[in-house]
Amino acid sequence: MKKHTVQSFDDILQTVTGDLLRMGQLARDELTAAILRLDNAIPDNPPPIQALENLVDALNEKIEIEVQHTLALRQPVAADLRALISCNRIATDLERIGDHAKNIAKRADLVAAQGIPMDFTRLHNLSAVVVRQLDAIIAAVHNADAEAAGRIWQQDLEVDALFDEAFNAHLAEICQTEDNAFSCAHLLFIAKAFERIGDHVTNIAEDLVYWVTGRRMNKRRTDKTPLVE
Amino acid sequence: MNTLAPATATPTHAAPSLASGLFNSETREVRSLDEEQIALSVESLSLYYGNDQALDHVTMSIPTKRVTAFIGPSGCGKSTLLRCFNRMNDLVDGCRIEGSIKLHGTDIYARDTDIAELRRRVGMVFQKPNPFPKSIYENVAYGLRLQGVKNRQILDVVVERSLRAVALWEEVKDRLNGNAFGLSGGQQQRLVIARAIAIEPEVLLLDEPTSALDPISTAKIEQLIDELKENYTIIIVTHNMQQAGRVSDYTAYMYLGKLIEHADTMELFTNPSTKETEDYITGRYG
Repeated sequence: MKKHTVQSFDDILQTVTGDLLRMGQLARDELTAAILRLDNAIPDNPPPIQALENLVDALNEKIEIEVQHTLALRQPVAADLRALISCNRIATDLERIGDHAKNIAKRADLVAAQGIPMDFTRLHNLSAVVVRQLDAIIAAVHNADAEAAGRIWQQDLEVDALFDEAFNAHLAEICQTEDNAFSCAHLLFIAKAFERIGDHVTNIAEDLVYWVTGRRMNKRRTDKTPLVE
Repeated sequence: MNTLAPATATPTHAAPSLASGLFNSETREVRSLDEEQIALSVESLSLYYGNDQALDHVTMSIPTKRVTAFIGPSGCGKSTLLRCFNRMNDLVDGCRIEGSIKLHGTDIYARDTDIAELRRRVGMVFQKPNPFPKSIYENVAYGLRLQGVKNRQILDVVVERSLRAVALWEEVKDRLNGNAFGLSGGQQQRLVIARAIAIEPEVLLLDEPTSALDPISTAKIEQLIDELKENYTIIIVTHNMQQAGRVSDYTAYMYLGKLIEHADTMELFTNPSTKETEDYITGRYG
């Protein structure tokens, strides 16, 4: 795309999109750190989750202010307007993803404190797909790739299926073994947090499609078959 | 920490080719010229000033009782096109046109066109307010007097109605015989619009009507445009794109004498269909 006649307008748009991509990577790092806590496999020098969370929140606020100022002072239209509105919305979803990651870590610690070995296989299956989805959507935002966003959006069905599987299994476990009830209740919430992260990824996909094409997506999935890469 | 380097460029505007089933039916109904009654039809209009071509095969429809904004860089032909609608260009030496313009089906460039009558039906307001050196009352009554109306009661009614229509009545009713030049710029512009609508035209042409006014007077004129479109077909030329966005139903983008895009205003300003329009309205011009 051509440069703006007023160069500082390009600078602002670059700053906002740069901040958004950095925020995406930080939210991703926060999620990775949370998943490691699930196995209590804290690496030697773990990035403290709270520090990541603070960075994500700060960037969200920065983006919000940058977008507000640009709307007020430059009256952007067309692709510029869509970019700014989408960045603001995507930042909100990334901030929520960070919150869920923090929540997962907190519950993982509570489960670990029980000292009862738990089977995390299903949660790991779920988390692997959620991380893949998050990586894919961050790359799609970087490349302004609406086609990829459409695919990622469809693939949320896979997240939903794995969530159902994990949820049902851990619910059954609560009923069967009273000792595990406390931990299993937390695992249910962890599964739900992963599922919600998947939903935020689909929100980002919708915003990216609008940003790039100017059109809103049809939010009803017509194809019920999960799409797998 | 494995963080991405900040992006060095705004994501590129990739060509959209998503499966159409993925898109939502639009939440806001997009206006379509196909569903409008048409006041003015322009067919392959070209205009030359001597050897210079100012308009290049412009074909467009101006809908009835809607506001159409013409935007585009200086010299793109938008004012020239506006002036074709009441044949103001006839006054320019060496001006020649090809193609046709029809007002409700009648060719306004036909040999037997009564130009005075055309200009009664198609009124015009210019950038700089141009009241006549007369009283406020006589400015508004001017067109009717030209038509031979002498009945004072009729003139009183029309003057009051016109001044009320432009929201000037309350401000001037006690000094109708005062000189029009005693009014502020914004009031003068509203007076000129009152003068234009006193003779009940069908179309109002506004050539940058607020570019010489302060923001409050500008807002009053914009409010007036909103009200006048109930009864009149309005075409406005403006360099202020936000104003085009605020007041118009349709926007036409012109460049180098050509009509590039003519669409629902909301659509044109959020998702223009041509690259040229996008570049111009987002400030990527030149």
